[in-house]
Order: sequence, then structure tokens, then C-alpha cells
Amino acid sequence: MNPNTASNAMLLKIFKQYGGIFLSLIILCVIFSVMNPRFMSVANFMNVLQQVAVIAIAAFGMTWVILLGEIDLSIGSIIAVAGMVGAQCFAFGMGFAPALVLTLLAGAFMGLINGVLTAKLLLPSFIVTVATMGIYRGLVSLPTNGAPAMIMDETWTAIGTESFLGLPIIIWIVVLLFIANQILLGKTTFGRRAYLTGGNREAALYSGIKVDRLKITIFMISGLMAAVSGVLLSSRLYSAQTNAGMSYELDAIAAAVLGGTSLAGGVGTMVGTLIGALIIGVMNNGMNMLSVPYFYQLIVKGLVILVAVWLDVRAKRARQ
Amino acid sequence: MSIKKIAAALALSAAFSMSAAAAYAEGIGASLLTQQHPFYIELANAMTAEAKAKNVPLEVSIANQDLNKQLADVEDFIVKGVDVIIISPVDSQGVVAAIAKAEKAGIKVITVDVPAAGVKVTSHIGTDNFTGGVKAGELMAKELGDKGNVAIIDYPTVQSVVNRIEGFKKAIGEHPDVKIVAQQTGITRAEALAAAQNMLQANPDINGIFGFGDDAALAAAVAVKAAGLEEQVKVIGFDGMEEARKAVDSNPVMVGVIQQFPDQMGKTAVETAVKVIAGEEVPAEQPIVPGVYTKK
Repeated sequence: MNPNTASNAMLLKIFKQYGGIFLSLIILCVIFSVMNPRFMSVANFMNVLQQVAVIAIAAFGMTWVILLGEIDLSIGSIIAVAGMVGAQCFAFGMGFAPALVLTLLAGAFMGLINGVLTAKLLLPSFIVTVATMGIYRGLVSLPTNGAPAMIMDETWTAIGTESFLGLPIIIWIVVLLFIANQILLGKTTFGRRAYLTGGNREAALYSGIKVDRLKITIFMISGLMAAVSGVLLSSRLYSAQTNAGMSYELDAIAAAVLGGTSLAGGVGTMVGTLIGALIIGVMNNGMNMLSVPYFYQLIVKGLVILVAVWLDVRAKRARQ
Repeated sequence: MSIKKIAAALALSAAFSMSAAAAYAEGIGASLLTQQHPFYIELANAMTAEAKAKNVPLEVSIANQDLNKQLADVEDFIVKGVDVIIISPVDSQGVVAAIAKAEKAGIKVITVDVPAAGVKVTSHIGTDNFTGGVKAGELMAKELGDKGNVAIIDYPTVQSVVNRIEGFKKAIGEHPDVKIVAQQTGITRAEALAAAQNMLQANPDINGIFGFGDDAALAAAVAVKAAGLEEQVKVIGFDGMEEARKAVDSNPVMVGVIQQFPDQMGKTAVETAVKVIAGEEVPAEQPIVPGVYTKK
């Protein structure tokens, strides 16, 4: 097979698996490029990837949770808490490494609380995370009484602003976390258990999977991913904002569902979620490039999500 | 496998970009805090009108109070290649990242309303809050006949409000028989109501209340009415949006409000941007002196 047909076959495979959604992304890119040639530039592509990083990483975590048939509405608040934990660590004179570790641990711990309440107290995750969304959002305001906290640590702010080997560090992090989540979900027993449990909880229980422990671990992954998003966001903004990440959980859910993750559980991939996040990023950026007024942007975004999901559902039905 | 596929797709689109012609979007990009507050609607309208009059392209993005969106909007302006960026910051400290990015790309930045902290911009256009505070203090002294006890509702973490209160205190300081007997914080309307009630409870001899904003003043007027002290207490506010101006016209307790001029700010911002594009020098600070609105 020569390289040309190989890449053709590859494209064909992508289309088969992610048909509708991948098509939507390409159509959007073509429309925006025709209307503003500046859209299709390396500089703007870097731009979109950096802007979408926070949502994409949070959406990787969300994909795990939705795969289980659960939901995590607290990640927007966790994003804000993570930034504030980092800022407070620096305020207490800590160095970069311990501050980063504490921040990520805080994210995982908030996920642990969500997981334990859901798995052990058997409360619906929707309600648990609505509650913790409020609790975490309240906690973030305590240290500064609602005011933003400046972050002066140079290593921390470099994450969101500097480049490594010509590529912004923030994009390296997205790529690395994408690969890590992809491998964990696609190539390990843990990933297979997640699919199985999400698809059929009873069957998973009978096959000896410790569903509770799995669920708690997955909520911890979600919290951890949100904390990474919080680190990126606060480093991009040089500060921890108490209203940071407000309603980002909805964008993360939209990215996962756009990417073919089923809210009923058991179905979904990281590739799909990444494409879903890119669609959201491309739409935000493209409409800005075309100077679409803000309120129209909201309307168009909602419509595009509806059409993209419809295209995807239709493509899947056609295949069955 | 799928990672490779995505990488291939990315490489493909990057290749396309090389052939794409550069279309310059010259003109002004404006990133505004919100479009859900009358102040900012007036600001945006004035900017659009002035840009039209000066025949310069203007694009407006709305950050919706989200600093991350403001940063993304500014990044998009940079890629588009606007000549000047006008920002009304979501937050004085957090906006520094967006300003640094624009300056790094060689684009001059003008801030409107809220100043940026710890970074120099080409020009800042904002209300002269100190002078506004002085005007409020003078009006208060006049209304009380140079004699009485005054309370203040403040918001100590916001610099513009701190300046207002300082101006107010300076003006009151020149009237020895007018005394400031209480000062409490009330950020939202509900908090301001509680603060006003508490102060009236503790000091039943209060003759005037100065609210740092319209919300604080309107809440104070409610508290005065609830305490049945309409004959004794006068309230003065700051911002001068329509609701407060109407209250001044109809409610005898609200004797006046210091009025900001978002329309002047918007006009000045665009005028300054046009000068910057033409390579002219512009002042680093352009304070807009607020007016005093009293009953018609």
C-alpha cells in the first residue's frame, strides 16, 4: 500500500467511526476559511487549541463519568478551586512543585467526595454534584472574600504563556493528557471495566467488577482533570478568579456528547470528545473572526450543537 | 491509531494555511465586560456611533464577565490583525495577561472604565471617581445645610470605589459641622440594605447616607423609608443609571446622584484609538469628570 492510499484508508476509517461529527468540524472549518482567510492559519490554529485546552481536558474527565452513566456538574467549580489553591500555596510562600502537587491533590479529593457520595451513599450523581458545585464555588471565595488572587510564580504562569519546541506548553499538556486518557480507556482492563459497567451495571457486578471502587476512581479522574484545567486557566490569566470556570461543565458535557459519548453510558471515546471540544473551540473562534455579534453567537452555537449531534445520530443509525 | 489520524488531519489543515492569503482586518477591536448592564450598553452604543462617524472599522466582543473569554477575544483580535484594542477589563489584575499578549504582538491597548493594575497601557479612559466623590460630599453638605451626621456604604476592595469615598470624605472634611458617624460595606443591593438598616439602628441621628453606587443608594432609600425617617435622612448615590435618576425625580429621600458618562467614555475611547492609529501622541490618563443629577 503506498502512503497515499494508506492515508485515504485512514481518513475513511475516521469517517466511519466519527462520521457525522468529523464532517461537522470540517464543514465549519471550510465555511470559516472561505469567509475569512485568516481563519486557516497556523497562528490561529494554535490560538484555537490554546483556547479550547481548558474545556478539552475537563471534557476528558467528563467522558469517563458519562461513560459510567453518571454526570459531574461540579467541575466548573473545581476548576476555580484549583486555581485558588495554587494561588494560596504561593501566598504561603510555597515553591512551584509542592503548589502544583497540592492543587492536583485538591482536585482529586473533591472528585473523591463526589465519588463516595454517589457510590457509597447511593445518591444520584446529578444531585450530588449540583450540591458540591455550590459548596466548591462557595469555598473558592473564602480566602479572598470573592476578590481575585494574583499569581506571580513564573513557572506557573509560564505553563499558559510559554512554548516548548515551538509549540505552546498548554498544547503539549492537552496532547499528553489526550494520549494518557486514550490509552487508559482503550488499552487497559480499567478502561474495559468502565465500558462494561456503563453498558450494563448488573453484568459488571456479576463478572466481579468492584463497581463502587471503579466509580470513585472515575470521579477522582474527573476532579483531577478539572484541577489540571484550573491550573491552565489560572496560568493563562495570571490569577485565580473566584468566578473562573462558571458553567464550563456544560461545555465539557457538550464536547463529550458531540463526540458521540452516550448519556446512557457505555459508549464514548476520547477521540470523539477531542473532536467535540475542537468544534466548540472552532465555533467560538470562527464567529469572533467573522465578527458575529455576541448574542447571535450564543444562538448559532446552540443550533450547531443540535445539528452536529443530529448528523452523528443519523450516521450511526444508517450504519446499523 | 486514531492519534495519528488526528495528527494527519492537523498537518493537512496547517498545510492549507500556508497558501491562504493574508486579509488584514484593520481598525479597532473592542472587548467589553458585559452587554447586560445599561452602563455598558450605552458605552458600546457610543463607541459604535463614533466609529461610524470617524469611518473606522470597529468590532465589539462581549466577555460576558468571563476573564477567559476576554483573553480569547483579545487573542482573536490579534490574529485578525486589528490596529488598536480597546478593553473594558473584567478584572484589573487578570486583564494583565491579555494586555501583555497584545503588546507583545505590537498592538496598542486602551482601557476604558476599569484600569489595569501593574501594567502600562497606551491610554486609560475612566470616570474621575475622586472628583465625583468630592461632588457628592459637597452636595451632601449643601442638602444638610452644613450641619448633621452622615453614614457611608462602601465596597473597600474596588479601587474606583475607594477613590469615591476618599473624595467624599475630603469634601465633608471642609464642613466642620458635618460628621461621618458610620461606614459599612454593602456590595449587593441586599447587603447594602442590611448595612443601611444596621447603621440607622445604631445611629438614629443620621441625616445623610452616601451609597458608593446606585444599588447601595437605592437600598439605603428603602431602609430610610422602612425606618420611617423620610423627613430626617437624605440619600446620595453614584453611577446615575436610569433607575437611580428616576428615583431622584420621584423619591424625596433620594436627593441626588453622581452621574457617570459612559457615552463620553465610549466616544473618547474611539477618538483616542483613531489618534493612535494615525501615530499621534495621546495622554496616558483621560479622566471623565462625572456630573451631578438632582431633581428636575
